[in-house]
Amino acid sequence: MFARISGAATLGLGGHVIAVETDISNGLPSFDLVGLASTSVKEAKERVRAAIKNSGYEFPMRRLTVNLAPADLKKDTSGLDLGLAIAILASSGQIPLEACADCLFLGELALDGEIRPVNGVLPMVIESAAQGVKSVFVSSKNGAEALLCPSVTVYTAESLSHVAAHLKGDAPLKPITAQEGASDILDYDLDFSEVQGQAEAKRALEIAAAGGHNILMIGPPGSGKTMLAKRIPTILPPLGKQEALEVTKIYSVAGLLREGQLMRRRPFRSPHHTISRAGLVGGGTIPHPGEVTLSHHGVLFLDELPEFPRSVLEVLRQPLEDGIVHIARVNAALSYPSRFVLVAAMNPCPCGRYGFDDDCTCSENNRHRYIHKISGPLLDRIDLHVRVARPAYGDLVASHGAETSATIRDRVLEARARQAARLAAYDCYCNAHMGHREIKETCCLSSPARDMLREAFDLLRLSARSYDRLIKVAQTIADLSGAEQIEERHVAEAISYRNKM
Amino acid sequence: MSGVTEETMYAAALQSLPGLGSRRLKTILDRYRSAKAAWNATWDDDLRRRLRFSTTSFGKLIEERNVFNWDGFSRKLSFYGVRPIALWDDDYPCWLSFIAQPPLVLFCQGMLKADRYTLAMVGSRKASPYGLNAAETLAMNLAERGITLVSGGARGIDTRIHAGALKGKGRTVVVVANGLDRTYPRENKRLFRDIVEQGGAILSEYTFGTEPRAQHFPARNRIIAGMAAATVVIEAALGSGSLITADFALEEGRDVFAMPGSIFAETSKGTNRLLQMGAMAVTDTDDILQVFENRGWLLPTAAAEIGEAVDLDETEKQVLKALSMERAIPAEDLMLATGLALPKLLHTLLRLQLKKAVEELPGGYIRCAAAAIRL
Repeated sequence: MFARISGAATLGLGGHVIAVETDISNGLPSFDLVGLASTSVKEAKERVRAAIKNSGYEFPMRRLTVNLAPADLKKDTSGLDLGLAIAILASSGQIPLEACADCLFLGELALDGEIRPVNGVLPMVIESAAQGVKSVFVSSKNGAEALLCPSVTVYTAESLSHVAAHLKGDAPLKPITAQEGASDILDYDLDFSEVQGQAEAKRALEIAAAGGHNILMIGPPGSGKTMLAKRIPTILPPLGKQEALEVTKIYSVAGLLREGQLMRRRPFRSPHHTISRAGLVGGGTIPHPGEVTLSHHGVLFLDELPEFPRSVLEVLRQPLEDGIVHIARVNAALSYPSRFVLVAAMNPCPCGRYGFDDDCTCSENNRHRYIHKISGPLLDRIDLHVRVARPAYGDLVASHGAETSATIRDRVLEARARQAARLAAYDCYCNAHMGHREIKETCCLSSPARDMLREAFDLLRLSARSYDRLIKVAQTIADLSGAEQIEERHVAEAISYRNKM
Repeated sequence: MSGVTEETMYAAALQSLPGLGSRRLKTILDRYRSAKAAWNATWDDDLRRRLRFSTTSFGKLIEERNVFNWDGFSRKLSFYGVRPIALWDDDYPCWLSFIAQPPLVLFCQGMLKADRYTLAMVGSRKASPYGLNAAETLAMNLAERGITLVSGGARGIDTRIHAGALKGKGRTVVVVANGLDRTYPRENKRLFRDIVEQGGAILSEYTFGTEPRAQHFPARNRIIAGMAAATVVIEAALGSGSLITADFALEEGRDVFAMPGSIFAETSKGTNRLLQMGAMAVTDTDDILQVFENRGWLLPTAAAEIGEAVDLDETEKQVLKALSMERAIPAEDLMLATGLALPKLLHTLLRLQLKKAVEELPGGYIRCAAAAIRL
């Protein structure tokens, strides 16, 4: 007898509905699995056989053929186990096939029939819903995640026997419902008020957060660069509904989603500097998302920037420019979104004291080699350069509180609202993403601002490439101060955050 | 090449042979009377003994002479815009011909005049902001008064001296320790080009293809000191090359000036020692000009008018007052000192930078003496 059941797999960030077709015919007992299954799917044979037996059902001792369609799509998930078991039970007549219509089964099976959670549930459920699936069966740990797709009924089950009993009508499961609770107010364990002093760096970070600009902090060790960077998410605007869904999908596929909740905080990733190129932008025979994608809509923090291998840093150019990475491998060519704010920190020289302390012990050569590890094109993509000096003792013991993250975030939100309104007609929502055309059409400089810019260009030998960047930053500063056009003082401040290396 | 006599070309070729320094060249010229004759003569064993060469290295020398590539040599001269200037040429630096061992030939990129008002300024590569600031200021003021500055083009103080001279629209001469087809340090390529464009010169005793080796630098320093009427040491640690330059100047009986520095600073130990030994202290440009006048040398008229003081508004004055001329002060501290809000402060600092009254260093902002203040 023949049966067809819906399962799903992921490729990249997209879900794909997989038809699991089984046929039982007379012949010597055998179990054939066809349809470009990866190792983890082929091993499903053994898991499914044991799970069916241990759930009190009979594994058909006849000729059993399973096909996973579409046959040309590489399937690499253990989430097809449950669909496979149900298909076998249906085709051997142990559960009614009609009950399985418009149902999606996702879950890995333990040998005793228990259903285990799998990665990538959210994109798979969203895709299936678009293709007409009405109800979804997942492990209880995947329930909340599946519920993020509002148009399906979600059933969670502990084991294969519960699902089978539900389908037979013996013991119907109850659809689960969303638990409200998480509010929009985010609380972080960190706060900007904990950082004493560092007014210049804090101001630059505020500008970076307001305009989505990349920022580089230069300072001696122990000056608080990492401490500042860790607090950036606290002043970023909360994720919008659409953004949150995108980020959740990425984390779901990467298997990093905790509790299956919607991601409300902006991601903050800080990979160690031993990271490989594939680890940063994504890779593998079927490319997996890398750190740049995991920090989509959030912050990618690279501490000790010159310690990263140069080849690793260079791969950042495309994602920084386009907000997307295209990775091509033999088996698949995939595109992952990667629109993040790059926050980098570095020492001014190998010993870390040049320019900040008198007793720098590095030779001129060493210092140059250290700084030149970061290429010009990469520095060109960093809008803000700021120095972070060691705080004075007086700052450390000061009892007067610094500004809290909430106060700063209010200003950032206001600036973002202005940008969104101005850029509504274009395909971007914050200043950092503006292209040359957007700058020309939306940024308006007062005439003293224009004069100052011209003068500064000659005197400070600014490069032509830095022109657009300066205007973008000046526009953000103007947005923060609520000004209608870019004034001289905004340009001046933007220039003082220029590349000084 | 136009304007270069045959005799000078032969001298340049002789100096390009390996192993022939100024002392041996002098011996050869004394014997043959002319460079051309020396080149074409048969070099016998008697010459070898006088030059104190071993048989093998003398054989090598003769071999080098026989295979000398005249075409390649003159092509390189014109490609790099280099002119050889020999001891007997009119534009050979007039002070240099009086030293104990003047180089027979100087390879020169740019314009060399028989300058009388030349001043050597040297200092360490690793210098304090105080030294760098003072170097640039002094160099600028002196260049404005029409004095030609000679230095070594190295990193640190040397670079700032040349930059200051360019700012003062004056002439400056770089003496390097490598062939002129190379640039060392590399990052000064643009500076050297600007110097040549502004009527200065890059000089070298060494022929094309010579790398900057450690043993070349003392010899180079003798040219720097030798070209100048007086030598100013801005900052030098004990045992630094700048002190060697000062020694050469003393041996030739030239005046030596030193800039006093903090007694705690390693970078000023050498200059303070010089002062102890009787060098003249430099506290402003007049200290140097006065000595020139006392020696009876007529000063050229000021090349450029002294720029008028920049006018500053109240906030700018307030910020300028909080800045130091000796070390960079971070914006954070300036905020505390002036009580200005950060955006306002950064705006003011940029305006001051545009007026050239302030400069930005890796650790913060420094008051730039080269603009508003005259030493």
